[in-house]
Amino acid sequence: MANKEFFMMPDEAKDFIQITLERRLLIAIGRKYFDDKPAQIMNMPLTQSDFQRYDEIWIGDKKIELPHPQMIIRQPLIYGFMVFVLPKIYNQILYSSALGIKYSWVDENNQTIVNQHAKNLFLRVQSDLAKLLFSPIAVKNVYSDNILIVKNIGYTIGVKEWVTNGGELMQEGVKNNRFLLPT
Amino acid sequence: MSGVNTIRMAINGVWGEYHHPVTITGVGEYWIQYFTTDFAGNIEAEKITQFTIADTIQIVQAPPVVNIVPPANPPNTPPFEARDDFPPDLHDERVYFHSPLVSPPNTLPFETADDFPPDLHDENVYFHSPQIDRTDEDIKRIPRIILDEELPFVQAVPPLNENSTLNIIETLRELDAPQIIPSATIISLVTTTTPLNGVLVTLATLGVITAGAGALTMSANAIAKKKEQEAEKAQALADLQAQQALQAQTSIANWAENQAMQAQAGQAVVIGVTQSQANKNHWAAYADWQQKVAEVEFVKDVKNFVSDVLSDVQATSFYQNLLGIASISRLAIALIMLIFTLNGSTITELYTKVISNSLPNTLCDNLFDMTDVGSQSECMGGPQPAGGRNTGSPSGNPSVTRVPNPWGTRGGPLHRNVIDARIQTLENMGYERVGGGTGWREIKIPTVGGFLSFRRPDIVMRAPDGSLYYENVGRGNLNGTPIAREVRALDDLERALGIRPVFTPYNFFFSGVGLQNGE
Repeated sequence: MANKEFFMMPDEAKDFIQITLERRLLIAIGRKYFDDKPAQIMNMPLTQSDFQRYDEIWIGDKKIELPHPQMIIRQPLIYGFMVFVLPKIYNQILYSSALGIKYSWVDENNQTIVNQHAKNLFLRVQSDLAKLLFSPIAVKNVYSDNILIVKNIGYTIGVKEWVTNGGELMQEGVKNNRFLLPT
Repeated sequence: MSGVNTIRMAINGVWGEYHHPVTITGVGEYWIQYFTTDFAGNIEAEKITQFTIADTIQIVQAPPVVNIVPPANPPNTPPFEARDDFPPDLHDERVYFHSPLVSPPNTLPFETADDFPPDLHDENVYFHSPQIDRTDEDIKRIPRIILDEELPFVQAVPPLNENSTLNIIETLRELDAPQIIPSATIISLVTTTTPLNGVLVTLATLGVITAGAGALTMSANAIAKKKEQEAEKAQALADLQAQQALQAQTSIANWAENQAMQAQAGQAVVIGVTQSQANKNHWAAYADWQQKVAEVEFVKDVKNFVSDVLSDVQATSFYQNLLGIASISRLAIALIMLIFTLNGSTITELYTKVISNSLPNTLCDNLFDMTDVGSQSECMGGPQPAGGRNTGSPSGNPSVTRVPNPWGTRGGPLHRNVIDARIQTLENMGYERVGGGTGWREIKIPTVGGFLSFRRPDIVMRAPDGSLYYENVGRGNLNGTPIAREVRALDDLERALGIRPVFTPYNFFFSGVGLQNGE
């Protein structure tokens, strides 16, 4: 299991996914919450409307013979797909993105089995992503005013500009935490 | 040129030629994709069909051991007053833990035996006990089910022979006289119970081993006193076992009698997996796993033990005292102790017990004395296993009981199954999965100022109103409340989220004990 949380502007995320798909020969499936019709994104290059249409982009290997996209998203472990949670902006607050995958499972004999191909693919994409990110970042709890320095949550140059212009950073659903950049 | 040339179809993504009708019998979801080509080379657009084959499992189960007594107080309120309560407020812990405490619901959760096993995805099972008007007299006749007590934690150890040397050493150790063990006793044990006694006979012939019975004597009074105590303990144990057997027989008789009575009256009989049965299954799996680990680690222990004895001066001197021989070499000691292990006990256990007995009592009796960490770790069975925590396959000394999470970060099978079942239930209620469960990532949340820096909720779903819903699945107390470590996790998450996640105890989930008792 791996899950990488980070802050990235929507246009940066669009460019990153576009470049990754072309460079790694990957395919993308768009998923919107409460919509039972996820679909493979065929039109390239990606447009801004794709990002307004979808909440998550599922990325996988083109070489796998694909079933219906709905089945992939229901069982991403089997097909080795990773999820890119797209950034959202509401009320001058930028919500965090995530790149996550679950590439291992426990079989009937309690043996841990790893989908090595999916793991390697994730590590490659993650290494591409890491080159764009800066760290550390500070997390402040507005309830207790405690601050935690976090190294494994990064941010891009665009996010730094966003914060400089008065934007805020949050993780969706985590109301008491605010993310602060070093000055 | 017209007419169908070929038909290609795929079942769950596996493509092939269609020649004859296909029969699918396995349980699960299926996606059938198909298209045809004609002789002109035209390809039809691909079509997709989805269907599901439901699980139909017949469970044959022995009757659970239950005590059935009339209700102390007539029930007065069902768990949920009216259907307006549905969907329940999932953030309200009372929904899960504080149904009417004293009185059970006036209807049994499962009306007929056909309802078992209950459909865990059916909200009615949990939230809608059917409301039937009954008189007080009717209510008093409804039996109240009290399940037998929770099984205590049983430490799984490798099986030992009755006459193994470990037991004998243990007995001698309990006499509080390890320094006056007659060496003749040990030697006779070795020579009579091991196939390698020829080695010892040779050593004895060479004069390396001398019987020290005369030099080391044991108090006859101490032995007699110990025997009396053991006889008393054995008698008490026999009485307890007889009492438990009688209780079990009575329980089964009561259960059978009540079942016949209900069957005669045309009432349904409640059959369910009891809490004890669930615990039994869980700990049986855990014991099997520990047994496997012990077997694998045995070979490692042999090598480690020999190297320890050959390099540890303190151990050597102790074994010299133990055997009553001052001049015996380390190699001979290692050989003798290897023979001990052939009787069915691991070297690590033997080594641990003997070494811990040789240390000062103040260190080994008080394991919380942090002044001497090295000695403390020896008392607890040597150095702790290497490797990171929660590795999923703990290695090292099998006699060490400190295994934080032997199943890995996602928990044991019961924990994982309950998470998946809860996710399925929530999806049926219109929630969308965001994280958690089999095959999905877990959301990592910084918990500033908490007991841990980060927490990963077991289930993160998106509610139909768009908000995020968090739930933790963990071990619960008998009344369904979370145990201490789960409370800490919930506290940490509450500080960050601004809302307390829902908690589901996995050890009561499939048994439904709390709901049946109305607790």
